[in-house]
Amino acid sequence: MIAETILLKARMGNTDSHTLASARAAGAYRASAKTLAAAPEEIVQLVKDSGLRGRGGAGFPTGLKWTFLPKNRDATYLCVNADESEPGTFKDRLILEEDPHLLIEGIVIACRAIRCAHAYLYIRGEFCLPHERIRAAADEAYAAGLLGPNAGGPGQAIDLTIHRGAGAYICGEETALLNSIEGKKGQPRMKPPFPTNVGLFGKPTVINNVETLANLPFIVEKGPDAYRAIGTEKSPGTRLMSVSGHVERPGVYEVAHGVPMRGLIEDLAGGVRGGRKLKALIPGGSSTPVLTAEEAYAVNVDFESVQAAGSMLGSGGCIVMDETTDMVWALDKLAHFYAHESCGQCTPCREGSGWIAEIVRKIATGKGTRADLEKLESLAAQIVGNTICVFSDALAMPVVSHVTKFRAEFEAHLADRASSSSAAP
Amino acid sequence: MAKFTLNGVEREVPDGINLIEAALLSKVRIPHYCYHPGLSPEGNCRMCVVEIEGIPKLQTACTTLVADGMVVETESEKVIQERTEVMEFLLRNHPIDCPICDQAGECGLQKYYMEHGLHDSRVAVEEKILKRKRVDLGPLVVLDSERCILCSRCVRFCDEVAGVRELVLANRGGRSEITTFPGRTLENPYSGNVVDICPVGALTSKDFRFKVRVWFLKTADSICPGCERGCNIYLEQYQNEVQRIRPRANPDVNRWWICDDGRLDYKWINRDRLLRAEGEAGTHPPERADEEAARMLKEASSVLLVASPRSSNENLFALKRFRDAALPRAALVGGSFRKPWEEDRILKRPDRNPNRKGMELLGLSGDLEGALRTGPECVLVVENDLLGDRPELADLLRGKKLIALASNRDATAEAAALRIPVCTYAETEGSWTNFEGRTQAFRPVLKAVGESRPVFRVLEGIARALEASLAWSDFETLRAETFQAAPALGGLARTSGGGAHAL
Amino acid sequence: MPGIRTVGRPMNIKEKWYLFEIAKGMMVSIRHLVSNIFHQDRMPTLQYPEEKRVLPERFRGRHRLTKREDGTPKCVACYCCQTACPADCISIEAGERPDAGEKVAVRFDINILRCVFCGLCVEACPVDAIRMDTGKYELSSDSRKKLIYDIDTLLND
Repeated sequence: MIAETILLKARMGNTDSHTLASARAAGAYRASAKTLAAAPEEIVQLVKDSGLRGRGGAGFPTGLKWTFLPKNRDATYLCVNADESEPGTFKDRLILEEDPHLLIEGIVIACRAIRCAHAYLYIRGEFCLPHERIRAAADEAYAAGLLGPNAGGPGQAIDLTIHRGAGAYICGEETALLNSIEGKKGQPRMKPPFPTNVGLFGKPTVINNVETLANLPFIVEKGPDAYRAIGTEKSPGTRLMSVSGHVERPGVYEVAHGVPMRGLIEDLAGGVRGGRKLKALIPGGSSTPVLTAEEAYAVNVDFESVQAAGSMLGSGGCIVMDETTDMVWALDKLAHFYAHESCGQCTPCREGSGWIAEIVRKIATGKGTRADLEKLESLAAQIVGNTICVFSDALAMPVVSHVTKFRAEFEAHLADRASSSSAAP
Repeated sequence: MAKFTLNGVEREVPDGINLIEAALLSKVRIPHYCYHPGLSPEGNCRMCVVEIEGIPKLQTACTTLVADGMVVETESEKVIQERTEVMEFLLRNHPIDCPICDQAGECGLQKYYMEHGLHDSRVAVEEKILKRKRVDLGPLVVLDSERCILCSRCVRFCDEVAGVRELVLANRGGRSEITTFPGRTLENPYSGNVVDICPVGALTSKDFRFKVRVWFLKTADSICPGCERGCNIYLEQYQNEVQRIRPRANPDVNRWWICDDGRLDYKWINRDRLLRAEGEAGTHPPERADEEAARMLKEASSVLLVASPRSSNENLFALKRFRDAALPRAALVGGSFRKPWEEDRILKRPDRNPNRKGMELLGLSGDLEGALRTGPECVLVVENDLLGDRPELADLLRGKKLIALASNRDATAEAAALRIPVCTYAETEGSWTNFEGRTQAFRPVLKAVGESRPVFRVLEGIARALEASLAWSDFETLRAETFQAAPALGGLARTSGGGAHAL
Repeated sequence: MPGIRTVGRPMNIKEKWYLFEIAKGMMVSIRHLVSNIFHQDRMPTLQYPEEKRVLPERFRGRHRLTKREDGTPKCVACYCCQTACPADCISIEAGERPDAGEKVAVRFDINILRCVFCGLCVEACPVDAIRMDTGKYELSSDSRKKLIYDIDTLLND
């Protein structure tokens, strides 16, 4: 029987947890005060030692990313990625709604560490309440001097600009996010050069996810060892898992890395609804390969075991599907999402995403043929590896995993299934 | 210089250039759509990918700068496979418009499909996405969104070269389209260039629409006569009429562009031509016309020969020699009353004549109006529409015997007592010297229209009738004498063989 | 010439007389004459114009331009036929069509005097706009001008 390990959710749950007064009373901004005395390199070392990994999806070690900034730089920007559009993920909005000061404190610490005077928070345009809350919290912080001209020390400003998006999943991609803030079309840039060298307005830039930054106050206050004591060696700390789908109690659960996935679903989320059986589970947001029930209950909630099972922990968006789910229908929904969100810049993704979505729709509505299924598989392979960003990979992974692991269902939908069998002569 | 290995052979190329240019220097063509040497690179079409040793993913050659020690493969299996896949994706939604599309014969998709695609289609026509067709973008350009491959060359051209914000990529994903910003049209003075750089038939010229198939056209390298910039152009004809003008790449003069005015300035070559010599007594065959001109010139007490900054260096030199040999007491002045344009910082120069500098270097410039006012009895005007450019001169020229050597029935020719047809720049050889002193040659694309002759041949004929000796065995002899007599012209500049950078 | 040895064979008396050889040749003609008198139905000659040859199915006769449902020509003026024609006898001018097709032939002339009736134009056409299935081959006229068929003739005659 597993329980939540509360670290980030510590102050949440009260009706006024988002206010400065309430947050401060519960210990907010103690850690950032400590950083005022520390040298930036010390803070970076602290974060490196803690082993904190990015919570946006890629899981890249945060401290390491900070060290990629060039030593002699005239300006640094911090971009906070609050675009949270990965289907199945809704944990950043929890932080923005219920404990925005946790994030602001994390931003202050990060700005101190990377010597950034101006941070940009890119928040998804569809967020209403989270935007209200973070804006109010930022105003409170400015009023209290926690942000502003001397927030980083005498004469060292830390400014926060909140920039709203306008409804594009692709703007969660870090370079598309930069383009969007600069007022350009939200299309990803070619890498290299990487944002740590050439980022926002051409200056060295670090882009971090909301949850990643929310971990910083704990690491600074309690120290990297205390952080490492939680979780596993390769995945220290806790994780906000957004559990949705066919469970009794969908919601955001904070667990230490390494707890069994089964525990998350059955103990915390109340198990599959109606006592049904689990059929499939997407562990880290729709861009990660789907796991069968067997595979899902064999992994733990950490980066390495999910990777070993052939998927990714990604952004922690856990979508549970029970035995009543038609996997072809599920893929149809996903494929159309990706076709809708492709930015259209490069040929394989632009044309391939629409094509794949159409073929899946054909199969789902019973009009597909065996040739269509083969086409689907070959297209998924074709769009990968020759694009500016990894959006095409993000589309290919659900397609390939759904078709491979649930092939029988796809074949059952084919219009010419009677005349052919999967074991071709 | 950087040493890199291309397809197994070591090459040395200048530093800092991208792989497409580096390969071109070694005569290896890497296919591409969105890259254009005159625009910033984007890397979105994915057609120019190459394999670079040490990097697992294929890299776009247009955004990768050559580096010492780089090992590049442009024809490996992976690269060829990738190109076929990109072609398939590009053709997936492309409409079956070849029969009605003007780009057929010079289309990037047709070309690369034959070279790098040749796959069978896996798409049914009904599955293709439908978009707007036959959209009026502006005075010169028509858009067909279905044909567009979203390479964004046109958007970059307007932003970077024309310096205007007129075109933009709207919508997202498979529904992306090129369009104008709300309330704007594509009307900048260089809008026609987007038709040239569009690799497919998405942007087509209204002026050329449905005129003729491009494989019927015959092309000649020429120079635009619109102003003293001397932009290099291609003249293209069918059935002995010029059908269109396209820019010719020259990195020193006009790079890859021409202005819209120059692009559309060819209709006069085909229309209102003076086909035969006409005098007061009626039409004359060439020898008769020459004799008539000689008679008028001999009888006059004072003669003025008017040269034009539209004439070629060779014709101007011939006019000088004509005066020296046949009418030594005649005055010879060159000038033009053509109203100048507004100069822009891209290509247009204020003086709207192609050879003002050449005329100067040949010593023919002077006070034309003053010369006219001295009251010569007979005026021989060569390729100069004085009355068309300045109608007020009609009073000055009334009562004078006017002989016009003209290609068209312009105002001066119509007012002349004797008009003799001469060839336009499209029908004869010649050279013009632009404002920088660059002497550039143009070649004929048409056969002489009607009974028109090159100016120097007409002058030879008149000289013969005046019993003066003036003859050149061929054009090359005339050119050689011209450059010898005026070394300041500098000889012919290289007008690059770079082509119009068609893919 | 070296390497060639001509073998002569002197003519015998019958061949020298030559009349015999003439008679031999005449027998072929006389045989046909007699056969035709007695078996007129086996003569290969047709009494044209009362009898006309039955044309094969794919006989290439005079061209015709096909029409769409609304009566306008199917031709989209792609110029494929003009390009394919080895005799340079087709001359087309394109124009704008208001509906979705966009392009249509405004002038479509075939100079029958030049045409070699090869059928390459029919093969080249991507939209089945031109066919040579009229079976018409009686095309003589008394003026060259009349033998340049214009679009009206090709569409409607």
